[in-house]
This record gives sequence, C-alpha cells and structure tokens, in this order.
Amino acid sequence: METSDSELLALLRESRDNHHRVFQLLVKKYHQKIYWHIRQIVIDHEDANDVTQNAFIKAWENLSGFRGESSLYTWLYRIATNEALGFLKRKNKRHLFSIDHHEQLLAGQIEHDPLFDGDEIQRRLQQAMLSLPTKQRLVFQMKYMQEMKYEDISHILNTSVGALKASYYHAVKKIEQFLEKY
Amino acid sequence: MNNKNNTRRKLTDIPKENPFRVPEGYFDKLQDKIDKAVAIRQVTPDEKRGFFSLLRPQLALAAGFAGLVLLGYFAVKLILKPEPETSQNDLAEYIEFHMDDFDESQIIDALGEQDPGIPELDYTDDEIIYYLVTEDIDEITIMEELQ
Repeated sequence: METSDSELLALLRESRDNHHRVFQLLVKKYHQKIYWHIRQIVIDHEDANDVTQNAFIKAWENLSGFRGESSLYTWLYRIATNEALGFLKRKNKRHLFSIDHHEQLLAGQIEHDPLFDGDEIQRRLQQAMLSLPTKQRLVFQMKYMQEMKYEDISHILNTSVGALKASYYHAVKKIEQFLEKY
Repeated sequence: MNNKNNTRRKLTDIPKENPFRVPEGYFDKLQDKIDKAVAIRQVTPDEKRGFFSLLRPQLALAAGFAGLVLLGYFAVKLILKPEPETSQNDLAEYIEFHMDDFDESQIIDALGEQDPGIPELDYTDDEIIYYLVTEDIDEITIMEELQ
C-alpha cells in the first residue's frame, strides 16, 4: 500500500531516525513519476537516468531541511525540475550552443530514438513542444501532458499562476501553428 | 472563440499517452540504483560531507590552540599589570576630595621632590621694566624678594 504524503510528513517530523525510512518510501512512491517528468525535459533515457538519480540524492541531502512549507510532492518535483534544467544548461555549455538550439537537436534525436514508441502525430507533438522556449515547454508539459494543477506548477516553477496561464495559452497557440505547418 | 475551440480540438486529437519507453525492467532497478548512489556518497542528512565538516578536527585543534594562546596572554597581562594611568582630571578630583588630609609641608615636600629647577624666563629687558613700572614695584620690594 502506498504511503500518503501527509503520513510521510508526519513520520519525518516524528523523529530524525525516520529520515532514511521516509526517503525510501519517497523513492518508492515517486521514482517513476520523477523519471518521466525528467525524461520529458531531457528526452534522452540515459540522461534522464543520471538526472533522476542526482535529483533523489539532492532530495536526500536536503530532507532534514524540509520544513513542510510546500507539499513533499511539489518539493520533489521542484528539485527534479531544477536538476533537469541545470543538466541542460551544463550540456549546452559543453557543446557551446544555446539551450534552444540544443532542443532542436533533441527534436532530431526523437526521429532515431529506439525508446520512442509514438506514432507520427505523437512524434510531431514532441517536436512541436521542443520548438518552444524551455520554460514554456515545461508549463505545457506539466499542465497538458501531466495534468498538474496550476497551483502546484506555480510552487514547482516559482512562478505566479497568472504568468503560467499566459505561458500555457501561448504554448498551445505555438504548438497548433507548428502542427499546421508540418 | 471558435478558433480557440478548433485549436483545442486539434490538440486533443493527439493521444496523451506517453510515447517514450524505458528498457525492460528499468524501474525495478532504479530504486536500488538510487539507494546505492546515496550509500556510495555516504551522504546522510546529519553527516553532510561539506568542506566545513571535513575540516572539523583541524578547526577544533586550531580553536583549542587559539584558546590556550589567549589564556596565556591574559595571564601574563594580569601578572604584569601596569600602574593605572591617572589623568590630570582624576588627579585634580583626588586632591580636591582629600584636600583636608594634606598640610602645607606635605605639598612643599612633594613639589621639592620634583625639583623643577629655576624656570627659564623668556622675557626681554624692556618687558621686565614695563612690568615693574606698571605694577609699581620699587627697588626695595625687589631686594626683599631676592633675599
């Protein structure tokens, strides 16, 4: 049976001795969701694998400092998102090109990805998403694909709900234009 | 509005299914990988291996040494405590407070010990003559003072 976030938080507050147990339960509950969230950002499986592990290591390192000001779920997603964005930045620096150019390369990579099972229209949707600026792409992925609440996305990306709604609206328009073009 | 609805309809025509997949049995291993990654780094919330914690023994030694040096410094300072310096104001206040305890002879003796000598006068002859005339000091008075 899956442990709820409130139960995990209660365990966390009960004693420092519970921290390792809470972390294991957190990994058990969220490792797949966090992996998929990261995979949608970095696209490549091997990269997603590394970033996911790093994100959970960061979570472990910071677990004792978690004050419960946000939910465990948004706290974990925030760590994962920052880790994935940081990874993309570092990767772009190594290759001396802009993050947007890198996303164009990722779009090309989907064409030959053996771990991509989607049909042609899904491939085009992925490429359309990768044509968006990174933050806008994130908003679209979290709202449309992962069906997250604006309030949760707001906590994760540290952006106001109003700004997220505007970003999502523009993302939808751009994706539609992309899909019409190709 | 219609345009917006069309946009949504077109987008929703595309299934939201996740088009990516992972290698067979990947998620079964991921949890173990995370556990191992945490264990290898030996990172626990209480034992973060930061720069400070790595230097903790050396810092404790340095702090102990600094404490000993400070202790020695204050001990020496206490033993070789110099006479407190007294300001002119403090001295004046002290004398005023104890004025009744002094008699004239003590003050004369104290001044005598200092042996100030004869002060050098920085007056010209004309200034001295002017002073004697204006103060109406005659020869007899001068002779009396010099005796």
